[in-house]
This record gives sequence, structure tokens and C-alpha cells, in this order.
Amino acid sequence: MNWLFLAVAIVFEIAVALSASQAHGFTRPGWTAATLLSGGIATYFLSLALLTFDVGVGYAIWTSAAGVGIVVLGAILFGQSLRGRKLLGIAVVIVGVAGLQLSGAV
Amino acid sequence: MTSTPDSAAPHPTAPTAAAPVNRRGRAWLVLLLAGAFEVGYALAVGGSEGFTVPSWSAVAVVFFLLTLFALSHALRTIDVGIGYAVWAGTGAVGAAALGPVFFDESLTLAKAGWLAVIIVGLVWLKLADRPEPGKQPATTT
Repeated sequence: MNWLFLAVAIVFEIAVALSASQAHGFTRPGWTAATLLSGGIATYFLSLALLTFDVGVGYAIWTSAAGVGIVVLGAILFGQSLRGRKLLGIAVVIVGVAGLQLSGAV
Repeated sequence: MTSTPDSAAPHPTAPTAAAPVNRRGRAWLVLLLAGAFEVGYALAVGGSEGFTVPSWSAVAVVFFLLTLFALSHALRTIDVGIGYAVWAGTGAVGAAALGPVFFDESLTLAKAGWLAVIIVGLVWLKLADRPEPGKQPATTT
């Protein structure tokens, strides 16, 4: 269940980044509202996940998985490149999360 | 703090004259503050216990708004990729280091090591997620 909460929080954190990038320094009211609303939902589900995850662990997985999602969606939606250096970063994040879980630290 | 006359001007692609140096220094200070606010946000969200503890919940909301405001302010001057990398790295390291201080948690060697791997990956990813320097913005091909 805690992983499910974390997954929902990650999805909405990705929505925060996408809407914040459209809010143009928070000058567009609609996108600004979308940013705050997504941020509120992401925060709430993060807090549910942190009922069982350690703060440092849950937060690190949350923010880095969202970072991976943002880069992947940037490639899909906006045609940004997804090559060498980015793929390496994604791989390192995945290795870290997998290692954390396999080591029994989560 | 916000009285700079040029703050409304479109920000230059590269630092130019003497004035931007001071401005960049201030932007970096605001960015580090944003990182500190993000650490506070993470700790408060954890302490809110699913937003059932009013005091921590209120602190979380305040830090959420502070970190958003400070980060967006800093990114007007600092390169977005570098700014996000520093902010995200600061937040994740701070949350991992201070979690055991505030809560009944332990930071074992294995946990700290794997967290370091995740955070290095995250910072690397943020740094990689920006236009390559020296290249012109892509035109239609």
C-alpha cells in the first residue's frame, strides 16, 4: 500500500513540474492553480507513504522517480532528446531504488 | 530584496555586465534557501503523519509555498538544469540526514549508500536535462 501511495504522489509531482513549466513564472492563473492543486495532492499522498517509509528514503524515491518521469514525458510530449547522459541518470536512479529495496532498507 | 529595477526585464541568456554578478550571488542565496525550505517541507510532511497532526501539517503547507516561491525566483537568474540539480540534491540529502534527528528512524550504512546512489542519479539527470551549451535553439528540421 505504501508503494501505491508513493506512486500516486510521484504521478502528481510530475504534473506539478509540467504545469509549473506552463505557468510562466506563475503569471498564468490556470496553470498556477493546476500547479498548486497537483502539489497539494502529491504532498498528501507523500505524507501517506511516509507513514511507513523513512522520511529520507520516501522523499528520495519520490523526487527522483518524478525526475525520471519528467525526463521521459519531456521526450514523449515535447520531443526532447532522451540519449546517453539522461539514460545513464535514469539507470543510476533505478539501480539505487532497487538496491535500497534489495538491501532490506525499505 | 525585490527592488532591482531590471527584475522585470527579460533575463539575458548569459551574464553580461557588472550588475548581474551581484544579482547572481543573490539568486544562489535564494536557491540555497529554497533547498533548505525543501528539507523543511520533507520533514514536515513526514511529521504530519498523513496530515493528522495540525502543527506539522501547517508547517508543511508554509514550507511548500516557500520552496515553490524561492525556487521559481532563483530560476529566473540561474540555469534551470543547474538550479533544479542543486535544489533537488539539497532537499534529498537534507531529508535523509535530518530524518533520524527528528523521527524514530535510523540511517544505516546500506541505507545511506543506496540513498547516495539515488541522489547522484537524480542530480546527474537534472544536469543532463538542459540544452547543451553552445548549441543554438533547434530550428525546424
